[in-house]
This record gives sequence, C-alpha cells and structure tokens, in this order.
Amino acid sequence: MSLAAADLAWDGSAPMRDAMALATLARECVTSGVERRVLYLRLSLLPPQLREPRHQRLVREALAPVLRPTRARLYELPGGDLAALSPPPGEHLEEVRRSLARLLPEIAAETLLPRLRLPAEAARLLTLVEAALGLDGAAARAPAPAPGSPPPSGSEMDAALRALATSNLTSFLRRQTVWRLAPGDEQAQPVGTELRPHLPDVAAALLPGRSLAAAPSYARRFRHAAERRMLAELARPQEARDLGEACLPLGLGAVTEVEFLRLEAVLGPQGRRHLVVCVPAEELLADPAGFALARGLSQQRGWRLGLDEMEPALLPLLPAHRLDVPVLRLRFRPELLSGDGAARAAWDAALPADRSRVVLLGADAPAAIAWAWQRGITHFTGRVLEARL
Amino acid sequence: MGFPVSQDWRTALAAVPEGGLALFSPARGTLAMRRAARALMEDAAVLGGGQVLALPGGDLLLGAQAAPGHRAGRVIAELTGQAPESWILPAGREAAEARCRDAPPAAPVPSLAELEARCAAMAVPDFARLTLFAEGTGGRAAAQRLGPAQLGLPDPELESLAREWFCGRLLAVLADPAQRGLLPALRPGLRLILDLPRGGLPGGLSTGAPWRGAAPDDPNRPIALLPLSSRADPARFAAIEAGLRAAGWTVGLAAADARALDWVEAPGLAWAVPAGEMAPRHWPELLIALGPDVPGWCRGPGILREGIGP
Repeated sequence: MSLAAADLAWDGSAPMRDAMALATLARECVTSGVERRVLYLRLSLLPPQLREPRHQRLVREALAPVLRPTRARLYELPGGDLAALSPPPGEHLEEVRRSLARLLPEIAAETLLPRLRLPAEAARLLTLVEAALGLDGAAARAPAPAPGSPPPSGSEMDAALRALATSNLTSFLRRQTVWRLAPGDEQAQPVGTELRPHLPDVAAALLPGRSLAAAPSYARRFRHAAERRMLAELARPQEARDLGEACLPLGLGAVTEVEFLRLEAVLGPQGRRHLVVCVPAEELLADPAGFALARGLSQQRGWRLGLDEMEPALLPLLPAHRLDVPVLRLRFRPELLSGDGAARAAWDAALPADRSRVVLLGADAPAAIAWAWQRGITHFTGRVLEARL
Repeated sequence: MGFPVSQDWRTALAAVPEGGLALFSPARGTLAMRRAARALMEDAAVLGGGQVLALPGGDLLLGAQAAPGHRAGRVIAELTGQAPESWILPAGREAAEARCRDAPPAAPVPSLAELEARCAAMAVPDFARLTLFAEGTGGRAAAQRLGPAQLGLPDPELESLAREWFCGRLLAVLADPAQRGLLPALRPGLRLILDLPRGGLPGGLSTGAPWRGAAPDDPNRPIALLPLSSRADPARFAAIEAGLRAAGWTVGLAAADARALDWVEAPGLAWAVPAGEMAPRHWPELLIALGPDVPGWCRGPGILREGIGP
C-alpha cells in the first residue's frame, strides 16, 4: 500500500468515504432487493501517460450526461476508479460507456468499463471496490508459506525444547504498540504494548531447516516453552516494574505456568490492573476447563483475560452475549468487507456491545480501519498505524 | 515476621502459632489447577507469615495465619471445584500430620512418546467403554455410548491426544468384523452414542451396520460425538457435520467442561458434558449428561443421563 493510500484513512477523505458508502449501498441493495445499474470505470488500470490532467478532463466531459439529470450518482474511489450508479434501465450509463470506450480504446471496454447489475452482482462490485482500496494488494504481500521444509523429528524437538529452557530470549522479544484511533483524531495514541517472543526467529535459530507449521502439536509445545522463558525474564523485579500497560498474547497452557504466576505475583495488585493476557480462541475450544480456571484466576487476581487471534469465522461461535471477555482481539480479514448479509449480521451481533473492548489486529489497509470505525472500534494493531511514526 | 523455613511438614506445622491454619490441597485435577492452587497458597503465606510445602506426591501444605489461609482455601475451592482440607492448629495438628503421612506418591506424567506407546499397546477391552444412559425421568436404559476410556492424565492436551488415538482405534475395530467381538457387546434396541475422532467417520464406515444411520425424524438416530476442539475449523466441521447428517446421524459435541455449553454457540447440536450441580444457562437440543452420579436436574426431557448400571 502506498503511503498516499494509507493517508486516506486519516482524514476520512472523500474517496475513502465514497468507497465505504458504495460498499454499504451495494449491501443494502442485496438486503432490500432494490435494483441499480452500475458503470464502473477502472481508471486505475490506465498507463500513466493516459492519466494526465487533460485525460481526466476528457473523462469528466464524457461523464457529463450521467451527472446532469441527477438520476445517477458518481462515486470517486481511492486509486482513481469511478463508479456511476443509476436506477434501471440506465440508458445514459450506456451512452457514457460508448463515448468513454471511444476515448480510451487502449484497454478493452469489458475490462476497463464493466457494467454491473445490483443486487445480482453485488459481490463483483465489492470485489472491485476492495481492489480499489488496496485490499487485494495487502493479501498479496502476506509472507509466502515456508517452502516445504520437513517438521522436526521428536529428538530434534526435545533438543530444541531443552535449549529453549535455558536460553535468553531478550533479543527475540517483540514489542508492538496497540493504538487508539477514533474518527476525527489527528494522531493515533498508543494505549499499550504487546509483548511476545518472535517465534519464527526463535524457531529459525533453534530448528534450522525445519518447519513447525507442519506439526501443530510441536508448534504449541515450542510456543509454550518460548513463552515460559519470556515470562521468566519479565518476572524479574526490574522488568516487572517497567511493564506498564501490557498485553501478553499467551498460549492457554502458559497462563497457569509457574513463570506467569510468579510474574503476576511480582506485579502486585496495582501492576495486575494494567495487565491484559489474551489466549487464542481455539485453545478455549480445546481446553474449556483450563480457560475457565484462567478466567477465574484473572478475576480473583485483578488482571484481564481476553481472547486472541479471533478469526471472523470463529466469531459467531463465541459471541459476546455468550462469553463476555474484557478484551477481544479480532483478526482483520477481507471477508469482513465482502461477506454476504447474513455473515455480516452474524459478525456484528457477536461483537461485544462495549466496542472499546475490541482490538482489530492486522489493520494493514485503510479499509480495515474504515470497517472498524463503522462499528465503533477504535483500537488497532497493524502496519497502517506503525507506518505513521 | 515469618516462621523458620523448613522442608519438613512436622516442623512446618509446629511453627504455626495457636489459632493458625493448616491447609492441605491434595494433588487432584490438572497440573494447571495444582499450580494455581500453589500460587494462591504462596500468596497467603506471604500475607499470613507462613510457608508452603510441596509434599513428594504433589500435595501442598500451607501453614499460616487463619484469615489469609481461609481466604486461599475459599478461592482454591471456587477455581478448581475442590475445597482443600483445613485444620485449626494446634487442635487439628494430629489430623493434619496424619494426612501428610498418608499422602500417596506422585503418578508421573508421561511424555508424548510414552503416551503414544501406552495407547497403542492397550488391548481393545481396556480402552473401549460401553456406558448406559436413561432418558428423561425414566429409569430404564435408553441409550448406550461406545467411547474411549479416560486416562485421567493431569495434562488436558495429552488426554485429548489419547482420546484421538483411542477413537481412531475404535473405528478400526468396528470396521473389521474379525475384531468386532473384542468390543463390549452393544445392546440391541438402544440408541447408539459413538465417540469419533476430530476427522469424523471415514467414508466407508458411515453406511455400515451396526451404526447405520436412520431417517431424519427417527427419534433413535445414532449420535456421533466430536470433540469440541474440532469446531476450531468451522469450514471443516461444517463439512463433517453435513456428511454425518446425510448418513443419518445426530451430531454432538463432547467437552470436558460444562461451561463450554454456555459459551459456545452450537445450533442444532447435541452436547455431552460432565453434569455439574448447576443446570446450564443455554439448553442444547439434546444434552448428554456424563458422570457417575448425575444431579437431579438431569431428570428431564431432552436429557440422556449416565449412571445406569448394566
């Protein structure tokens, strides 16, 4: 994502608002069944030599017929795409499309100037909007899965766990800021620090050429051992004093380990009030009794236990009205924008009513922040915010 | 001001002043519970000027002032569901000493490899369990569950791995007519409850006898129990659930803690959970109440309850 695109989220610029408005309208057409015709101008596909001001002026002139009768509405999207919406039959859209095709013969009209019908083609429209928002680019940048390295053998694993038990992980400790950013805020405010051992680096150091992804139970054990080391270091009185507003994403097993219990004892009642621990939602499903114990302990001792890495697909399974947690860390996925009406209703219904409890993880695109703001979510971690520093 | 630090429970108990408390938390439940209990006792020891001793069997002994000791005991009972034993000293000293003397030695927690070898070596009759269930207010057996034995391991991850291995072996034995005789004999006419591994039924099995499915409205449709953890992958679970339903099964979830029933949305699914004293807040379509003596609220419609003798 270019910085220019990232900036769009900040000032709530017109293209950003238009994109969200268009996405909302497409969904409303689906729910209400109202018909609309759409002419989508993928001007972002044009080569730079066709994007000079004089070309833009020509495009505007060609668009004039749809704007004049006020029967169509024009949406300006990030990246330069335009979308014109009109009630059926929308002959004037056809007229504009013909003149634009004459004006820009370099790219086939089917690609450059797609026609869409709402509500039937709402999903296709949303995909185009997402592309304009840079979401597809965000997905493409995700790190490629490790090229098929084998999982470690049992004895390699034992050796790595033994090494981990006495290693110093200070250099592998990763701190990430949790930000608060509300609509209208000029600056994102740091509200806390997330601490975790950076497992891929630790694994690369201790298990070179081996992939833990291929063996989930080994991966869990490795994570557990690494977290215990991190907690042992954090529990040193000096470190514990400096912890501040901290969020520790931990495996459920680590929460009842000696090292964590020592840390929370060292923190004392005052320090515990600032501590948030989040465990993966799927570990709650694997060990509900363990989760209940950790939850009871947190309530007794005054720290907060939340859920980490909540995938949108899991959210309706563990809705807030069933399980009330003080912190819900939701992973942003593009399907939050593109899902159908029923899925979106299920997600919205599952979120806690108090949206200040929700942290959106992986807010790497302005669209993620726009999605969150529509729901009153203002806490984030992710690249868009880190890049602002 | 603290008591002299001691490694021996006799001196530790002797050091507690009059009116103090001896709190004994036996090594029960998961390792997580025992560690949490220890942390709470340590806290009470710091506040109450005492000390915590870990006995060789993993049992914990706290000698401290009465107020923080009582508080620790109450919180431990609340969190783990098991109240520690306590004695006011010096009157209860003999009883406390006897309890420490008779504490059993610790059972070692197996490593992953040891557990796998142990599960693979167990004979079919040792791990295949048939239990009977009554329905509603009736006292007669209405259903039978064919499932794996519980090993009672203090690590839930190991326990669920053992369940996976046992369920896989159960299916292999069921599929092999030559071995089926090793299983406990199924009662004809009783509804079948079958524990399945996370992956559900392998394709060929879903239509074979004696676990053949039934019509959708048949009240005696067999029930397939999947572990709650299988829901962590919603798409895969939906596919497995659809396959089982199409083959004539009712689908249920097995969870180790009844609170999961309140937390997890599971429309249309049966639930098999250990029945606690409190009835759940959210009633599932069908509740399978597990445990040697299920409480009174389990005698109602829509509940299959364990604990019917053979």
